This record gives sequence, structure tokens and C-alpha cells, in this order.
Amino acid sequence: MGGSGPTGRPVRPPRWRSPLLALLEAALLVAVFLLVLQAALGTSLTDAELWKAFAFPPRRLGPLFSGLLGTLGYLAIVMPLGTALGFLWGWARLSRRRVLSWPAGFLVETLRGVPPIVLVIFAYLFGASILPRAWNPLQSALLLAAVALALHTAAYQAEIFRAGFQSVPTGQIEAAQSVGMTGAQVMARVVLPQALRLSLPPLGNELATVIKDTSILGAVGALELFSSAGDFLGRPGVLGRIPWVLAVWVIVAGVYLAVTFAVTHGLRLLERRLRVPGLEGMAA
Amino acid sequence: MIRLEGIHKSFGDVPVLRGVDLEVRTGEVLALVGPSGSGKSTLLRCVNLLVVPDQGRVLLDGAQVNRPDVRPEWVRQQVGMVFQSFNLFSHLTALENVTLGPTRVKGIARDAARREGTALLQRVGLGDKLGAYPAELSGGQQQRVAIARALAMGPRAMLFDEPTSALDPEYIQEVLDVMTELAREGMTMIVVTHEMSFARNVAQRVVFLDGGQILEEAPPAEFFGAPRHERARNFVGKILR
Repeated sequence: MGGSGPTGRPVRPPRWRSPLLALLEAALLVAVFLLVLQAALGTSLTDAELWKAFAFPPRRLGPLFSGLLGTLGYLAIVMPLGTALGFLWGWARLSRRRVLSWPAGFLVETLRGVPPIVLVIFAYLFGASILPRAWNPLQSALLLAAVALALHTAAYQAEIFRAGFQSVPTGQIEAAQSVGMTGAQVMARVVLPQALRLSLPPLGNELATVIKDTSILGAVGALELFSSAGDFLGRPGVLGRIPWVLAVWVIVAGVYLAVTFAVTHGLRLLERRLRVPGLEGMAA
Repeated sequence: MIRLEGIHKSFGDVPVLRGVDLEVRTGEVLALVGPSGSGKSTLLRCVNLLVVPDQGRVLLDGAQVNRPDVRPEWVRQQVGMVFQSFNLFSHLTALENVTLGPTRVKGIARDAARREGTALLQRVGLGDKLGAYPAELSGGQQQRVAIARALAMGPRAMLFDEPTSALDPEYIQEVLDVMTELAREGMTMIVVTHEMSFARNVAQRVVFLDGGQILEEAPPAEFFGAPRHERARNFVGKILR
């Protein structure tokens, strides 16, 4: 099919591109970009000594990869927790029951109004001061800091899911009731499948933001990519090597880019899989 | 078969229905007409309890159903409904729209539901659109899917809330044809409509609602030929002009 549907809406033919080709394309682009950077700034991206020190020191994990692992570890806490809470809060906010909607609204409004770095520092200091000695409070408080970041993104995601729920026309809910479906069935079979589809594009946006926001955890001493790179540049012997500074930050930026791309691209694939004509999402 | 007694309903401070009595016999087709805002849609929704009356009784086959011990979901299985704006489920195909109720509410096996759903869609002339999504169908096709969706529950009566008002003119007749066929097969129907040809030719009785009250009830020829109530005369004069 092509051209335009009976309702006048253009029906787009499914697009399929070879993933290998897309990857090659991206790699080529990055290579060109790096070469330009190399020429323009005189950075040391091709300096083997830098790569050896930053990424591949003998017999242990370089700062690049230990930082990346830290970032991925925090993401494994922040993304699922943030999305789960965001979904629940977004749902609760629309509840007719005040005991559900009011606390959800309060959390969303306050958490959105505080800079994430303030939340993270507060959670860390709070945790470090109340956790018992036996729990290694300075380390455990980092978990609380990560939870604080999860709460921050949950507030934004709550609004995304709320908008998703609200974009399901009430007429369809009425129609579902009119065939005898219970409230739970209407929610599970009619509202959720549409609300989630509509939420996917803006959700990708928010996840891209929170991936980069994990760098804030470095402010309280968490081992992650951003702080790891900073520590590396402060080492004796590295400190003061200006060409390395630029190169390290270019590498770090590239790694954040890759992680973000992987997540948003995964969501895009999901979106395409679940695609239904006429339900293309709020902000494509 | 369907009986409403002394129905009152207000939304906030605004009274919408002010003491409505109505009876529909088995196999009867009743046209509910009246100016916009007269309470037709609300009255229709009281029958399947999408709107719960503040006062009065709703009876199905002589048994009151607007009582706490009767599940509204059960009532809605007995009485199907078709809406002005179709309200098909956007994420489901035509066939899935029709089978959702039978599989989830009545617990019919998926294969059987698909067979029956296919037959119903063929009956409304959409045998070639089983896999189409609502956005890929015209308004007339969507409304016919909606009729099939309601019929799939095996209802004993059908409510139609201005089923052709949102349609482009060229699609109105195909929907009216399906409804006429349904009436001929003996379905009990309450139809809120501005289609006077349908009301004249298919309905056995016309009920005129205005200001939340029934002002006139008459066979179509009588109602459209010589309305007794002044406001009914006014209304008929406007729509026949």
C-alpha cells in the first residue's frame, strides 16, 4: 500500500534498512568527525600511549571501562526504577481517589522543581549520616543517590505516561464498557496498549536525558564514566598534558553518545514493532 | 422488554432528565428524536447503565437492573450500543475489535470468536476488511464494524446513539441499510436519530424528547404528519424544511 488511506492520512509503507549498512554509515560519519577534530584541535586521539593509559592498561580495567561499567551499573538501577515509578505515578495522578492522585501530584511537582544535582547531593549526605556504620555508609549512600536520580526522572516520566493515558479517547473507554468489560479489563485491553504506544517516543527522549544525568553521581564520588575520566586527568604524570585533556573528553562524549544511541534505538525498534496505523505517537 | 420508570438525572446542578417513562417491546424499533441537549443520549445511556439514573427504575424483562446487586457489566452484555463517533479501539484490527468482548467478557475460545466475528463482519459487508485498522477504514466502514462489535456479544436489544451524524453523506446509507436489515430480523432497537427517512420507514414508534421530558409518542406517520405538541411541531418543521 502507498499513497493515502481512506481517511486522507498518508499510509507510510514500512521502511526497512539493513542494520549493517546503517552501522557502516554511522561509523563512517564518526570517523570523519574524529579526523576533523584531530586536525583542527591537535588532540591526541591517535596517541597509543593515551589509549594504553586510559583504556587498556596491562592486566587491569582502564579508567574508561571501569567508569563505563559504573555508569551502566547505575543505569541498571535508575532506568527501571525511574520508569516503574513514573508509570505508577502517572497512573495514580489520574485516579479519582484523592489518596492516590494527591501524593503522586505532590511528588511530581516537587521533584521536577529541584535540580537533580541537589537531589543527589542531599540523598547522599542524608544516607551517609543515617546509615549504620556496619553498612559502609559512604558506599551505601551512593545507592541512595542513584535512587534520588531515579525519582527525578520518574517525575518527568510520570507526566509522559499521564499524557499517554489521557490521549486515549473517552469514547473508546465507554465503548469497551458497553460490551460488558470491567474497569480492569478496559484498562488492560484498551487503555494501556494505546497509552504505552503513545508514550514511547517521549519516553526515549527522557531516557536519553537520564543516561547523561548519571554523570551527576560523580559529584558525590560515585565511580562512573565522568568522574573516572576526571580522576584520570588528575593523575600525576597525566596532569598538565593538555592534548590528552581534549582527547579524553572526546572519547567520553563518544561513549555517552553510544550508550544513548543504543537505548533510544532500541526503543525506536520497539516502537516500529508495535506500530499501528493511526496511532503514530504524540511526538514522533 | 426494556422499561424505564420515572427516570431523573442531573449533571451537577443541571437537570437533564426529569421524570421519563418509556417502554420498548420485544422486536420493536423506537426512534428517539428531539432537539440537541434534550437528553436523548443520556436517556439511552441509562438503559445500559453507562449513566446511572439519580431516581427511577430501569427494568429488563420486568426485573429492575439499576440495583447494587446487579452488575452493570451484565446489563451491558444484554444491550449492545453503537456510538455517534464509532469509538473503535484504534490499536486493534476490525476483527479484533469484534472479538475482544466475546473472548474477554464471555470467555469464548479465540478460534470460535474469530469465526463468529468473521461471519458478522461479512454480514455487514466487510468480509474483506478483517485485518484493517480503524484508521484505514472510512467512517461508514468503521460504524459497520462498531455494529458488528456490539452484535458479537449476542445482545437482546441494541441502542444507537446518532449512528450516522458523524458520517459523510455518501456513507450514511450503508449504515442505515445494516440497521434496517437488523430491524427486519426482529432486533429490539432504540435509535436516537435525525434520519427522518429511517424513522419513518423503519421505526414503529417515534418518541419526542425535549427538556428532559417526553412530550409526544406516536407512530411515525402521525408524528411527522401532524405532531400534536407545539414544540414537536416546531421541531418537525425545522428538520423537514
